[in-house]
This record gives sequence, C-alpha cells and structure tokens, in this order.
Amino acid sequence: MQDITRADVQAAISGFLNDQFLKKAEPDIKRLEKAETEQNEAAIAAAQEALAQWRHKYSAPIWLDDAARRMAGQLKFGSHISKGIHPDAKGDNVNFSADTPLPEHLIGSQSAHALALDANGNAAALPLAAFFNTPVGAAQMVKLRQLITQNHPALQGCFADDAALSDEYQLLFQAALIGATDAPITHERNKQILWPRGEQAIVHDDYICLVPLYPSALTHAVYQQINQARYSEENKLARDNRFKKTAEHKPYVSITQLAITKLGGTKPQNVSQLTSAQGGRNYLLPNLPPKLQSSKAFKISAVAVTIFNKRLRYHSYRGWIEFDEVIKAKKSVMAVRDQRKLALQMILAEVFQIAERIQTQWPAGWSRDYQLSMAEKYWLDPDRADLEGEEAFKAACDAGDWAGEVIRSFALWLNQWLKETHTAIAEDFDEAEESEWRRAMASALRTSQRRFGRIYA
Amino acid sequence: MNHANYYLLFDRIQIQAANAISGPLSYGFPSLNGFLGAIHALNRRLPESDGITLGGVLVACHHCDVQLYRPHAYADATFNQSRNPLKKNGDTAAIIEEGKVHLTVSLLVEVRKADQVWANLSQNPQASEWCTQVQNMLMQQRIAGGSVTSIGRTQLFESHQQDDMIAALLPAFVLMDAGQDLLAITRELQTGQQHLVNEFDEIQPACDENGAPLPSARPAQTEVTALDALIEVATLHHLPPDAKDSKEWRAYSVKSGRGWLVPLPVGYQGIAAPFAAGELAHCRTAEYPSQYVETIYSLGKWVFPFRLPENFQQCFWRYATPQDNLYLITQPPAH
Repeated sequence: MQDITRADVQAAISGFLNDQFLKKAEPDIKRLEKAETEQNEAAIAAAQEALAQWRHKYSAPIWLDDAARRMAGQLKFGSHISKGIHPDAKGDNVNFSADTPLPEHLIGSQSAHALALDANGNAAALPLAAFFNTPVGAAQMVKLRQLITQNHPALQGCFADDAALSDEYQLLFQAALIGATDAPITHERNKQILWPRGEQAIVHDDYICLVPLYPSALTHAVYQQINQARYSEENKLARDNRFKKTAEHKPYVSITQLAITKLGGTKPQNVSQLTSAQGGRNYLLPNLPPKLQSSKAFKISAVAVTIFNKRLRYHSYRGWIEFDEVIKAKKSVMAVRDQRKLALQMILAEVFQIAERIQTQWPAGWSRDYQLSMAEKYWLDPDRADLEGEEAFKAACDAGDWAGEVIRSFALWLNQWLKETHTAIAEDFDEAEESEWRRAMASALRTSQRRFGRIYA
Repeated sequence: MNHANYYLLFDRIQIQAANAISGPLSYGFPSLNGFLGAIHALNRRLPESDGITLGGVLVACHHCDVQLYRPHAYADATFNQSRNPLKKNGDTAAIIEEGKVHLTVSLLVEVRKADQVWANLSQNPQASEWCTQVQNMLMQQRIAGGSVTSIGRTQLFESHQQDDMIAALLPAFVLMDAGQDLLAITRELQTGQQHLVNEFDEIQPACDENGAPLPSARPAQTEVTALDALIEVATLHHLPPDAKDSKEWRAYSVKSGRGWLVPLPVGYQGIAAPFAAGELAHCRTAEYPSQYVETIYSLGKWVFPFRLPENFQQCFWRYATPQDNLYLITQPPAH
C-alpha cells in the first residue's frame, strides 16, 4: 500500500467518475449517435444538452461535494450490518478491521480472503459505496476506502483542488466509513444475548450483553466462493462431460444439502447493498446429526413368530455395517475386539429404540392379533397386562421367565446372520460367541426394563 | 466445574419449533448457546437453599426434523414459513424468514451439591423429588427458541456411573468439539497431502501401509484459510476412473475417515470495543456492559455414545472465561 501515489488516486477517481458518467449517459449517447446519422438538428441539440447535464453532474467538484456532504450522511457502512438480523432493526453497523488474527481452529471474518464493504440506507446514495470500493494503483489490490481510513498521504488534494476543502471531504468520508461511535445505538429488533462471563457468573453477577450483527461481508465471500465452486464454467463442463462417452473426464465438485434463506424479502436492497447483489439469497451449510433409521416405520407382520428377522436387521443396519467391518478386519487384536463390542452395542441400541417405541406408542393389547411368540408379546406389549381379562398374561409377564427366550432369540438371530454372510469363517461363531451375545442382550434388556420401572427377574 | 458429584439426565426432551438457523453460515441443529443458556437460566431459578449448582452440559440428539422444503435431492432447501397475525392496521405482516426444527434431545448436566450428599441415590426420596421439581421448571422454559412439549424422565447419576449414563443416552449422537479436525483439514488443503488427528489429539500426515504419504483430492494451495476448510467439509469431489484401477467414478470427501463433521457456531468475537453499562442506547439491559459481536465458527462432530472419549469430563460444554475478545463455549482439552 506504500507505493500508491497521488497520481494513482487521481486516476482512480477520474476513472470511477467516467464510468459512472458512461453508465448514466449511455441512452443519451446512443440518442446523439442516432440523431447524428439522421442529421436531426433539434435532436442533436437536445441530446447534447442532456449529455452536458450528465457531464456536469459527474464532474469531480460537483459529484465529490454531493458525495461528501449529502451521500456520506445517508449511508451506513459496515462489514457487519444490523438489518441482516432483522430488516426492521435500525441499530448501528460496524466496520470491523480484521487485524487481530483468530486462533487457527476458529473461523470469523478474519478467515475470509477479502472483505467487501457493505452499505445500507438511501438507495440514491449507493454510488458512494461503489466509489469507496474503487481499486487504486497498478495492481488494483488496494481499495480507496482503505486509503481513506488510514489517512494515506497520497490522498492529499485529491478530492478538491483546494487543499483545505479536500481535507474536509476526506474527513467526512472517513467519518462515514468508520461510523459514528460517540452515540452508539442498537434496536429492539436486534438480537441481544446476556452472556455469562465464565462459570462463576451467577455468584459474581458477571454478565455482558452481546449484540450479534450480521457479518454480511463474510457471508458475501462465502456466497461467492460456493457459487464459484459450483457454477464455474470449468466445473459445469466437467460435470456435463461425465456422462459423455467420448469427452475427456475431469474431476468436478458438488455441494449439496445446502439451505437458502432470503433476507429482506422482495426488497433485499433495504437490507444492504451486498445482500441486494445476492438477490437476498444466503447459503447455509448443514450441521445436522446423522439420521438414525426411523423407528416409526417399523412394522411387525401379522404372521411373524418373532421380531428378530430380516426386517429388524434392515432397521438396525448401522450397527450391522459396523459389525461387518469388524469381522472383515484382521482377527482378535485388542482394538478390534473393542470395536466388536461397540458394534454389538449399536445393534442393541437400535433394537431397543424400536422395542421402546412399540412398548410405549402402540396401543395396549396390540399383540392379541399377532402370531408372535408369547415371550416377545410379554416383552413388547407390557401394558396389555393391565387390561381387563388379561390376568393370565399379567402373571406370566410379571414372572419374567420370558426374558431368557427373548435373549436366546436375539443371540440366534445374530449368529445366524454371521454364519450366513461369512461362510468361510462360519465355524468361528460358536458357543463362546453366542454366550457373549446373550450376556450383552441380557444386560441391555435389564437396563431397558428398569428404565420403565418394570419388574425384571 | 471440575467437582461435579452428580449428573442430571433430562431424557428425551421434545422441543417444538426450535431455531434451526444456528448462525449466519449454518442450519439444522440449533446453536449450543440455546441449550447452555436454558440450563444456565434453570440454574438461576434453583432455590439457593438447595446449595445446588449446575455446570457443563452434554448435548445428545435423538431426532432432528428440520421444517424445510427440498424440491429434489440435489436442490437447495428453503425453510417452511408461517403467516403471522395481521398488523394493527389490517395489513398482512411481512414474512421475515425463519427456520424451525422439531427436536428430541437428551441433556446430561453436571450437578454440584455442596453441603450434604444424597445417600443411596436411586432410592432417595429427596433426590427424586428434586428431579421432579427441576423437570417441571425446565418444562416451563424455552430451549433454543422452541417450546418443550415433553420430557421423558429426569434421573440423577453418581459420577462413577458413566456406563449407565451412556446406556441411557442410546441411541443418539453426541455433539463434540472437532477444532483439531478443522486444523487437520486446513493443513491438508495447504499441503495437498492428507492429514489426520491421531489418538493424542495431534495432527500428523496420513500415510498408506508402506509409509508413503497420501495425496489429497485437491492440489496444494498455500493461501487456504479455515473458512475454505469449512466449505470443503460440505463439498463432494467426483473423481474420474483411474485408467488402471477401476472403471467407476469415485466420490471423495475430506470428511471421510474423520467422523460426521459439521460446522459449529461456538460463540462470539467482539467486533467493536465494549460499551460501559448504559452507554448503548436501546440495549435491553442498562445493568451490564454490552458489545457488538459476530458469530465464531469451528467444527463439531456427531459421535455415537460408545465412541466418546474415556475422559467423560471432556464431553461437557461450558461457558469459557472470556479472553482476547472471544466469548466461547468450549469443551475441556483432551490432554
């Protein structure tokens, strides 16, 4: 930033004003061209007059004066904006300078490669934001606003021929960029969090009120980065070519499972300039936990004699996959044995999630219409014992002898599957293994029965 | 709080319409502060005469049902919005987008009982009465912006009953800090070589069986920051078949082998100097100082309870003492 000269700044300013002029005057320039080819004197004069007006408006002294005295007061700048939290929030924006680095394992505005400057307020004053974002110098790496906030020496006399006037403008611009902090104001629509300062906050009554602002500069960077990854020509081509036999196959990326929030509804410009550039859309990354197989969908066939069948295996697949991997791994290392225990527990957890759902959600007495073994009926339909005319059921249920049979069925179910799928090592699953499954099931059943305050033998 | 002598389990708390937008960059599960804040508020309501304080919170999710619409599997989702009541003058109120999620979570809370212990905990009538009392108090509160519709049960455990607590959480996923994985992924992107977190929580380059380094799916980029790593976590690379190895396209994610990683808002950083109490106009409190902040992200990991670290203390999230302008929720380090 040191090698920026006064000439660079002046070139940047006049370049910006020229661009603005061309943008606004474009229809009139076309009109003039047309009139000249048609040799229409009246039209030429009218167009020339209109052009002269634009030229006057975008001449440096006029525009800069307007920018410093009017626009600067009508816009609120910041990297963090209040309206991103709620469009009605009228609190301060904050222009955060990302100088102090964050610890490496944390992500904040410092982590973005470049932070744009955001602005909101009167839309007619928004060209000033573009003005501040004008790149300066040969490398185009430095923005005008950076020079203004740093009081860069190259700015002297750039904003007006009169040195004192130029300094005055510079101060006005600087004040607008930094934002007034002598009368800080937030708003009822801004979120405010009372944050305990440490674990002894209650004892010491030690709190601070945190007011989170919307990091629109950071989210803008993320938005652009995701769009670039997804929709760059290169990525689109590679994706399309995947299914073409003759084309060259190249790697491509996809980013799925995102969600979109729209800020500001149909008027994103009300929220901020950057939000408007994104059409109000913001990408959100998913932070959902993995989905457990829903126990809601589990049904028992009316003719099944046991729930330990293929259907239950499907509904506890997560544990089975784990189990499968452990068995394929090299045998009987300590870590593998631990993992097998974990996989077994995972299967049990999923089985009991389903069992508990049946026990608590299905209507008492549901098992009357099913062919399940009595042992499993006692286990899965405990509330039937309290119904009228079910004294015999209650007695048998309370006796608890059925638990042994449920445990046996479980161990059999597990062992049978292991023998079927791992035929080469089928003889490895013998008595010792089966008794291990039984022990685990017995302990899980005991825990589950206790949880619901039921008798367990 | 390192001297928790009991653990309090709120089993299967059903929360309706909690806030699904956990921060400016993520959606799905509510932010940690929603749960820690609720337990902190509960702690403030406990009668002082009990001599009981609540400490860190373990968050386990059983079920997470985000209210959104996704037209097809590859599309970006939008949140289901609700029409709000008419304004005073009869106009329809503008829709300010919100994201809602219905949750079933279990919270395990460290409990410190200062004066006398509960003898024979499982049969102790005072202990069970206290459980009912706190359960009723939590039922009246909001958690993460949602209403509590039911709490399965509330149970106290003694600190040595770790296995029972883990069994009680099943089946669920527990939210753990994965800041080290974020570092490892950042290294991987910077060097173009796979990096892993080893069992001592250190980062080291990953190698194949012969000790040769494993390349990443992306060429090295020295300019990479943790933010790139965060986006990389959500990215799937589709790699064309190698001429010799296979004829199938492969998918590669930097997450593979690291567990179920997710972006996780872990607190805030100050973005302007703090204001003295009463200085910030329209602040909700004039009693305490205030400060403008932004959300700070890190990575989290959803872990099945059997995979939790040996040191159970490590699974509990706490408010850290603020320093360096950072207001964080942290788990104690592994070593």
